[in-house]
Amino acid sequence: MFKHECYKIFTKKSIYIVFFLIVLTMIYANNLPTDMIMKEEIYEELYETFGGPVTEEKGKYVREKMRESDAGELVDEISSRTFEDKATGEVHFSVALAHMIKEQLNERKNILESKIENSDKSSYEYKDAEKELTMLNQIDNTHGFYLIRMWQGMFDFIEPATTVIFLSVLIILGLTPVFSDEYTKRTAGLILATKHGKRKIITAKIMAAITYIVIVITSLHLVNGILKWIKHGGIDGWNAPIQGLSGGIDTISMMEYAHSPYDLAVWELYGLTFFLQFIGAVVIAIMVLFVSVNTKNSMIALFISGAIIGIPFMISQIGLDRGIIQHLANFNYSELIKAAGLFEEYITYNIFGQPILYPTLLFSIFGIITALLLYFTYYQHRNYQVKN
Amino acid sequence: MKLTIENISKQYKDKIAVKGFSAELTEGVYALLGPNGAGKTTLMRMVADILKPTAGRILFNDKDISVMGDQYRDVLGYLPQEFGLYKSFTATRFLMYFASLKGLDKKEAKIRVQEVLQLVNLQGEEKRKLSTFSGGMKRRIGIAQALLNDPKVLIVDEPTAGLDPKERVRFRNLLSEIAADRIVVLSTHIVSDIEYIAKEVLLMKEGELIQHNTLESLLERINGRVWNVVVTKEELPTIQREYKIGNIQRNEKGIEIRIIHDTKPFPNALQVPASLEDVYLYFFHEEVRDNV
Repeated sequence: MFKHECYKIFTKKSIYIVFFLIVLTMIYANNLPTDMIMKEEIYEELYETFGGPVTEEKGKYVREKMRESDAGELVDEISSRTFEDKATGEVHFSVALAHMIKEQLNERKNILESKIENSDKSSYEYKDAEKELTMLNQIDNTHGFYLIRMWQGMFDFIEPATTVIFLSVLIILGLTPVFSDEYTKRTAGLILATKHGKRKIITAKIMAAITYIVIVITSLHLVNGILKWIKHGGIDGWNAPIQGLSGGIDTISMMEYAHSPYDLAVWELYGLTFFLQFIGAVVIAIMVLFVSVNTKNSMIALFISGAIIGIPFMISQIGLDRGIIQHLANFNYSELIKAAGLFEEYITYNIFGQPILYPTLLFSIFGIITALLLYFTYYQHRNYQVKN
Repeated sequence: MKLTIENISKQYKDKIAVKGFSAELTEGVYALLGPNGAGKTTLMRMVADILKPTAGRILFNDKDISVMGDQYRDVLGYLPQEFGLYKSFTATRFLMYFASLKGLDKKEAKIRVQEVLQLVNLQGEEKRKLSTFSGGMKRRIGIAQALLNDPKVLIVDEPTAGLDPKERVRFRNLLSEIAADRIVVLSTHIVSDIEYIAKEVLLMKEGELIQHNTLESLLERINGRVWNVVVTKEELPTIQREYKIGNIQRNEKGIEIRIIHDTKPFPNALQVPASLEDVYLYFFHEEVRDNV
């Protein structure tokens, strides 16, 4: 039954057309110029000197070098700078930036320590500050310069807004007809009169939808990975701390992990966010199936599903996310797909006096919503009445 | 084996589709006859467990089918009047899919699919996509899926619609063969489909069961009320308005018509043996006239 349900999904031509267009867009985006590609040997040489966590010594040295460079720089000299000079300047800047962020981190830790000292132990402020401080203490020695090649670009398919659109379109196109087509094409009457036509078929349809999601996400990540590998020529930096990932370097993504409080290596973040994006896509798939079972018309299901994902996403994209609407912008389906963005900064919510991390809360809320939608999807199909 | 329909009704917002229908069915073919809108399809959907009755219940071997659920549908075969097919599926894939829905294991399903394809005369078409099937072939693949699980209760709604005469006879014979040890409920407009195979006939009108009898009893009931008479072209319109008219045939003597009437309508009228078509006309004359 599962195999046949998969066949129904995978024989839709529209999903292949959209998939092909997405791949073309990825190839195009991959060829857009970025600030720097650390592919050349000079970066390896610079990494020998400046690589790893930033120290006071390294910080002072690069600041001095930058000051000298700024003071001695003349307009006509800029054009005569060699590639090596430019690369050295970029690396100096990265090290100086890491040093500055480390100082900011220490300042933040001081603020949190004083907050802890002056707060009541049972108060939310105390618990929140303690939680943040614990996390920041774990990333004490992570900021610095790291040679992270293709990994920076690997997140190009986890964070940007275009990913939300790409994945949503593929999920909606592939899955809105799953139930609604059975009703509109009058196959529901045949199915519902069979032994497994009211229960097991729903499980088979959900499993087929999950298989579709696995194949879509894995193949798009694979395409992205191959493109990044060709572009950057190596997998260096896989075990660097995520604080070394910063926007514009080696990628078109503006994702910035310099202020992230999470103690994770790059490969761990990739694995985690890949998994969370998959879970997010499955959560969206369940919502689409729920709409499909209720609307009984593929086109209406398509528009409703699109609106559920699209409206909050557009609100946050055009910057209308203020006040109560901000919660809608933070807790909606599109945020689940943009999983990488969840770990950029420290965000907690006060839930019954306990500070709960944003990613934990987001996935918990949608976990509950999904469980309810699953129940009602089963209920709705089981009780569908063939009237015409 | 027994299927008991106990006083079931189905009401939509402002329309009663089926009203207080009761019947007890055992092995054999039951023909459900009635004009359009009589409630046949609604009744069959309720028996097929895809539509809940507003009142009443249906029992299979004294167990409520709504409680039996999967167990009941395990012994059920259903062919609706109108149904869709998956255009990208081949005949084999379609039947294998329904075999899995009906709980057949893969090995058993493969054998059974070949058997039912042969039963409906579609062997050799296994690999063809359903999108290329003619109307009659689609109906036959529908019949095939209904037979896949060797059902104890077979509900077929207008199964012969779209079939050519040869296939209709073939299907009639098939039903007749398999009905010995199962309950078959068949609805049709084509009375000749059931004339030779129906164990009992159920006549429905405006949602109600108006007759439930053997074919012989029904024929007996109108025997002596069927007349043949030759009339002129000018007389025909008046006669059509005043009598229940069956077949009209032109011959060299004039127009030969079949009239269903309690008494001899014309002095020259000849009494003839009743057929099931006459029974239908006797009970549903108004509906037949409206449809003409």
